[in-house]
Amino acid sequence: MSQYDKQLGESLSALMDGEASELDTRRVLKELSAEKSEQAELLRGKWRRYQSVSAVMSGSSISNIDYSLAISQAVAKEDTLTKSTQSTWAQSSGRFVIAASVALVAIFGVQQFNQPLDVINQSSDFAQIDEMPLDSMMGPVNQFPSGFSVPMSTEVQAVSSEGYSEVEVQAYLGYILSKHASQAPYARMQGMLPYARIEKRAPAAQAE
Amino acid sequence: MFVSHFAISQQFTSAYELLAEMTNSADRLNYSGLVTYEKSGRLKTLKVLHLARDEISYEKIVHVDGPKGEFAQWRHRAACKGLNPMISGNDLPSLNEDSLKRFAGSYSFEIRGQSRVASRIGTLLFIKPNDQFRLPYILTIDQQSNLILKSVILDLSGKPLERFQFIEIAIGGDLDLLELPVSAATGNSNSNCNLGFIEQEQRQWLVDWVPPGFVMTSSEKNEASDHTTMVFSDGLASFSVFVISGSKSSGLPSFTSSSGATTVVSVKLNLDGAPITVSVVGEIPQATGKKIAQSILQSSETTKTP
Repeated sequence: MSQYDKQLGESLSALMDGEASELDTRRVLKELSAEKSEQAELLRGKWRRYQSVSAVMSGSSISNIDYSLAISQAVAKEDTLTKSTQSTWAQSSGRFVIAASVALVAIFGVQQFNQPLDVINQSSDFAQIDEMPLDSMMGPVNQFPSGFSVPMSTEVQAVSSEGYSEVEVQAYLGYILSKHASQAPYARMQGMLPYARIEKRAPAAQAE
Repeated sequence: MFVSHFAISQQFTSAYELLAEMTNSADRLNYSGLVTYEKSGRLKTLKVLHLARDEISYEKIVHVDGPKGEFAQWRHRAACKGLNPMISGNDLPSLNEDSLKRFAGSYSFEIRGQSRVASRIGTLLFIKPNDQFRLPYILTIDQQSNLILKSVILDLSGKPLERFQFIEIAIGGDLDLLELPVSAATGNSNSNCNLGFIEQEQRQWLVDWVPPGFVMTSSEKNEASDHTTMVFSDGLASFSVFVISGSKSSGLPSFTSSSGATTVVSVKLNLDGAPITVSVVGEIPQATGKKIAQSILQSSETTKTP
């Protein structure tokens, strides 16, 4: 990722957190309004994802537990954004500017608390993962549970020539991760947090 | 590690009480909301639901982005309570002396004012490890309900590893009246706390070293596949130890990996000529996971499994 891209990402995040400087705001708006640049596409992709969150927020009624409705609303709104034109982005960025000027509760000494988290897995860029068509995301067993970096130990590279089955290793990794995430909560106190780590999922029960 | 009762300050006790309240609320309140979960540069959005009825609790996660899917779990509340010393039998926070002391040995607290999350005011609680064997946490605890609104786990250098945050939450109200969904598999009697203990005599493997303050909270052995699982916790962090012996072990290499705050360390050991694979999975520093994995011993009291 180039220095410029990194700065752009940071400016976008700062804008999201309401902590953008004027430079950040101008940088993001400038990029968003550039129609054909690759950076603009990546930036729009990021903003699209953040938008889908707020779309679900405004569209769903929390006390009415009808997930199918909220999900299809979110998907519908997401589709709209995908087909969005220049003018919609201009409106969005207008909202950004307003958000940036709203003061949030200041938390001193905890700048890193709200900072965007490092991308540890350099080989799969954030934008690329989400831009992949859904089919390939549900792909074959030949994938690590999403979000896990390829094992960093060089021992794995060496032993693949000794015939370790990648499929088997991945299945094992998935198994121990799921088991830990589902059994560990009872030993600690973090409510729903541990469940957020579980990648294993069944297809949604309700029909869309 | 001996911690004198007088060395535990009032401030620590108050913060510990806050954590105990938080644990209880998470267990007994009905709530639902939208959550963002970030790690490794990746943002997931989830819808969560937690319902507690007399005997059963129900938890459900729906993935709102990426591939559609959901995860749901029913469990017997009473059966699971015993695993967490902070939850007493009568829904009141339990100020268990032993666990308080153990906690005081492992972590220090700092209450740092307030923070606004999901349109609610929460107390900012810094939880700092007293040694290099566990990770720092920053929690935002809702002042009204004591639920966790936001949780950030950091590495030992203070860099955030993962962030879990409610962006919208509803507590009680209509949720208190909602009927529990019935488990498709076994009806509402699914006891899925999952965890028992392997009797001392039958334990084949011992974890010879765990960081101070950690205790085993459960263990289980799968006879068919020759897997043994042991779970440890210090009250806040936890890790699971998997011991794979037999033919399955030879199909696994050693490796380390991590995602967010979760670390996986898998090592191959040769104990008395028996090759095994030991994997440690948990929200602990990687070096700690390695040390734990390499400390596995074969219990000398056990007879060989037939």
